[in-house]
Amino acid sequence: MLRPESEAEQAFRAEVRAFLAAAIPGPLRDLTFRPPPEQAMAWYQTLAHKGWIAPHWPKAFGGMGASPVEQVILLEEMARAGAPDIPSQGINHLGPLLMHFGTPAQQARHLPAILGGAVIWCQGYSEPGAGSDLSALRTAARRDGDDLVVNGHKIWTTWGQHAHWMFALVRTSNAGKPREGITFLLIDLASPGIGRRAIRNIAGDDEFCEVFFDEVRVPVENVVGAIDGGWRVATALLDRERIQLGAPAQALRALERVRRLARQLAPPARAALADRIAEAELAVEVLTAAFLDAAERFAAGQDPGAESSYLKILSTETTQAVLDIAQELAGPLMALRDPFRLGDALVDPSEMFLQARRLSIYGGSNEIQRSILADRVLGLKREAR
Amino acid sequence: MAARSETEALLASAAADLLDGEGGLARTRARRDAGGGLDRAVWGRMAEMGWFSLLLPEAHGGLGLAPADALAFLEEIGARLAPEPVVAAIAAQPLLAACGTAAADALLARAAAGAVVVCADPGEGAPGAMAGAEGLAFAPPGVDAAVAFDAAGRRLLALDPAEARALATVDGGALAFLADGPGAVLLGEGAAAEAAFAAARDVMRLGHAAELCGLTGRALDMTLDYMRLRRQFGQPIGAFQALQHRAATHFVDVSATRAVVREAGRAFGTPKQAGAAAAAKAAAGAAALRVLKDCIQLHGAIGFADEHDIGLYLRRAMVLAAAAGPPRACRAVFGTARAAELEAPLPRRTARAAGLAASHAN
Repeated sequence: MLRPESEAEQAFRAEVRAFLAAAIPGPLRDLTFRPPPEQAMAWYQTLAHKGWIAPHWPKAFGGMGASPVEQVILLEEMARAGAPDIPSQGINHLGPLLMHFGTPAQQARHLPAILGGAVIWCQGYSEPGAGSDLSALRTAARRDGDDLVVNGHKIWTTWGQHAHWMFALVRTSNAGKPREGITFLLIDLASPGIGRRAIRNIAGDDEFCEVFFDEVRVPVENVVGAIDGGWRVATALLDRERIQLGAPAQALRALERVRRLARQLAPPARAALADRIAEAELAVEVLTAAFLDAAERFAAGQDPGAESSYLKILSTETTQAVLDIAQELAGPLMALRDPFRLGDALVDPSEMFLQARRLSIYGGSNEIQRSILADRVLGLKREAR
Repeated sequence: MAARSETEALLASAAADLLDGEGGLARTRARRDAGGGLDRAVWGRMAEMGWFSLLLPEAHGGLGLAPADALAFLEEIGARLAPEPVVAAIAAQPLLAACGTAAADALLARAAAGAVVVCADPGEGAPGAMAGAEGLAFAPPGVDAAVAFDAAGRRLLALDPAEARALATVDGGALAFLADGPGAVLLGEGAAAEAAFAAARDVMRLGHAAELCGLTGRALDMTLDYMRLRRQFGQPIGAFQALQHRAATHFVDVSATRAVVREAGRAFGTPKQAGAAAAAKAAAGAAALRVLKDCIQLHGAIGFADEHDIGLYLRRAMVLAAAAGPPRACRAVFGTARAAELEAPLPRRTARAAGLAASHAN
């Protein structure tokens, strides 16, 4: 971080560093992939117990209420210590949404379970026929007494095979515009009628899956917001969610790979690559500055608006660019499939590089984000068809 | 855009008013066409407004502002392509004040009376042979005095560039290759002079970075205007997705660069200053060239014509990107500072601060 740290912030960094040094179990350190659920959730619960699982949640909802600078300190230290990746759908997406649109009963039931790591959530938005054009979704829910009965097919569901619950968009009406008949629903994945099939990704991991719904009954009390009013629930917080998507979490993990490789280079190679290493450091500082700027403006009450689309583009493409530099540093070893030890470092030449392909695809592809910027921020009209 | 302080906003609107009142881009173009040279009348009005003593401590008669307070002001100057060496003059005054010698005080007094005194660009990143052959630093040839170190890096000197060989730059200005000579005046020596000069160079880097932000943002706005107006195939070219996405990419670049320059401003006065200033300059220089090249392309043939102002923006971007450390040289400075930071242990925590941090834990 270019930002000078106050005495309290320096002390916080020291505390985080000392905690991570002691608390991350050896087998979970420096992993190149997200660990299996029992291990990932054990680490999640360790952070939850420490009170650091939800840095950007307000204290009133059990979060840490951390300032943007403290959030960056946590991310920097986590990356430095090689802390494992944990599932974030509950913390980053559903939690803030329930704080705004959930009933007191929904908040009381679900927020503590998210904070404590008792429940793994997945997001049920994409379908085979509804990706970038999300409002074309067809998974349907019909009213039957006090239940909604769901039939359909979700896909690309990250950790869907491990999740206990899904927050999903389902079609409850075909009248009006496509966006008007969509409902936001919380679905217990232990319900009868649910089938799941893992999908292997190009990095060789089973990180996402398809979820099939066959006459799945969901109590109507699990609707968030109004029936047919789900599009607004899902999108009202998008601008602020994009601020969190702009946090330099993945970029710092990528940068840590560059730093570890750089330490292993012989002096002539290191000198030859010094400019590329500095480029990686600089790119992450630019992202960090952009995140701090947006998060601090938001904390001061300024609405980020569609401008926040720029953070999703910046954070994902920065991570990818930093991993390109890591590949350059790995040189002839860049294509090796498995991590290997080099000196005191575990070097991962390809896993994160491959995993990072998804960053510019999910959460609204970067092409969609660019179109949003052009349309809503830059004042450029759409092409006539 | 980030929130601005009242001082910052006042300064920024003063810059916009003065430069627009003097003729804006038309003046810049006319000066270029007339062969460059310093517009002393305009310089005098800038000096009267206190522009060059913004960072000079109040004890020396300046405004005593922090560099961060001047960023919006410098963005406005950059956006208008003002041909005067404003940043180099702003950097010079606190440098002279820090020397503590009679010669430096005398030069500062001359500057306060309207003389054009600038901090020279030490030309970091120049090919070694070129630097050795041509001299030790660059400054615009029309100034009254430029402050630079001698070739051995020992003595801080005031030099008169009038005698030096000057080469034209693409924006209509020129660079004089300063050399030690009989007219040189000794301003200071030793570690204190070195530290003062290093701080001035940091101000130049941050200041040019802010100018580049203003320049790049304005060039993108001009390009977006053009994309909304220019029609081909029966619609504005800004309706074509291939062009929209490029414009969006430039918006990302402009927004993020502005953020990192502001962030660097906060690091002034701390041990992170030199690395942060170099980071800001490296980011802003590289982003300006990336965006400006495509602004020309998005304008099509008219962008390649000298009559259109967008070309003035590319040419000034080239000059500012090269000044006080081009991107690669600044990345090297930042990379070295960062490597040292990574090796350094954390500062020792204090009990009071630790208590504050502990309040976050359950």
